[in-house]
Amino acid sequence: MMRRIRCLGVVLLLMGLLLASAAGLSVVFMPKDNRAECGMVEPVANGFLGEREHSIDVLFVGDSEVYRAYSPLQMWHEQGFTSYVAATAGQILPYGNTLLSRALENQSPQVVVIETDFLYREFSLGDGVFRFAQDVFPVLEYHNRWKALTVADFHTRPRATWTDDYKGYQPIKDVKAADVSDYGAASDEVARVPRNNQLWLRLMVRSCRAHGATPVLMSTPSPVNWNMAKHNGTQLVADELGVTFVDLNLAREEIAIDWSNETYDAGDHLNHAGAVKVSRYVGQLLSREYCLVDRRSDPAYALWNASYERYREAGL
Amino acid sequence: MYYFVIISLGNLVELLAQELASRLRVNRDAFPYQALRIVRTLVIVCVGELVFRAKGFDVAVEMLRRMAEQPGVSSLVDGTVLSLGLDAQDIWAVGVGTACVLLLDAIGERLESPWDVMASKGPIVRCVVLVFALAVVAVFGAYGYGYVAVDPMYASF
Repeated sequence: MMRRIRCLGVVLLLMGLLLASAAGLSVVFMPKDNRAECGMVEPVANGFLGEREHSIDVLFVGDSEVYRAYSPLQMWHEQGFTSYVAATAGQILPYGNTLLSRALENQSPQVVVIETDFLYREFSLGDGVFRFAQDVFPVLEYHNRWKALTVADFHTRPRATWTDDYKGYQPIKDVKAADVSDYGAASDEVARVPRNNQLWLRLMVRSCRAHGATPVLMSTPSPVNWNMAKHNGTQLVADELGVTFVDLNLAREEIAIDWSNETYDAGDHLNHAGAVKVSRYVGQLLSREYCLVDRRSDPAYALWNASYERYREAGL
Repeated sequence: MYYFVIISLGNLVELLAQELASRLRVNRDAFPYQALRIVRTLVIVCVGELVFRAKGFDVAVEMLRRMAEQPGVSSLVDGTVLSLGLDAQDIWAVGVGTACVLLLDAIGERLESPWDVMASKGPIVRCVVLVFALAVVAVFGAYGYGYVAVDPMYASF
């Protein structure tokens, strides 16, 4: 009996020491600001951390399809709602869930647009578990900061003072025409969203609803990444979750992407000209369907008008 | 295939080497001969690793040719070695880590096994040392954002 109690005591001691050291190290290693030079990972996608609290109406989450196609400042200028693109290259759903959770800590978006390209990007169970561990113990994400640690890291609280001027949108103006001969071919096939991905999508949808946000699944126009089988598979998941699915690949006449001029990598991603069309269409759609408030004349949002001016001056 | 060919050739010439060594009165157990064998193996392994990392046989040959034509260690002194993925701090971390492993290994061989020393300590000391070791791995380990796992050296092994 005593031996068992002793074993239990050792295990509890070990667990306690592990948790305490991981928590302590996490406090030290967390970047003290959300800038790249402060060690922030994916600063552009995390730029919403620097936005005024509860000031973002729409959050876009996903991979590179998202940050090349949706321009928050254009939607602001045309519709008057605020939005942010929390997207990273090759994003997998666990990181999308992380970005969403971070955003929901200080923002109350009315709509969360979850782009569907990454629903089909496979990842291992270990990737998901490791991402969860990184969220709980940030030292696992920022451990490489050991090279840049200063005394201030031991006593300064993290804060977020920076936001991306384009609100996560990353335009490219190059042109490389796409072959769209097979684009949109009808099919009854169903490309199933992998079970692991469905689990994480379910988590994201639940988080949105718990915070009063409406999740919307959206497929960005992309002849390379999209096909009818994926549409059918996504529709199936959307129906199961009771989430609206907007497939922009089917709104071809309304958006009218010119695939010989409005993609920079032969149909994988849109260039800026394509993004302008998509942002116009999506801005109108979100504004209309979700009754988003026009904040353009609200003095509290004056910085958005200033950002838009710089956006225009940059020729966008 | 590379090592298969090398090992097969080695087996084929082994008898010949034995005969040659006895005729030339070379002691194959002596240090100079052993040192020669170590250098030979080192060269074979290094060339082999280069061949495995090359994208094709022609690229491997080109790399070997350039090594022979432009020998030198300029990248070690002009700083370009630090642009290959490991910065100076990483190299320090690797150096200190290697030194620790060597030290513990030497202590284990000449004095007492570090594992035995740890086993003789109480649970609190063991827990603290274990947590410290895990923390060192968590902080200085190569993983996470920006880290791309290096391809396995020997095909899929």
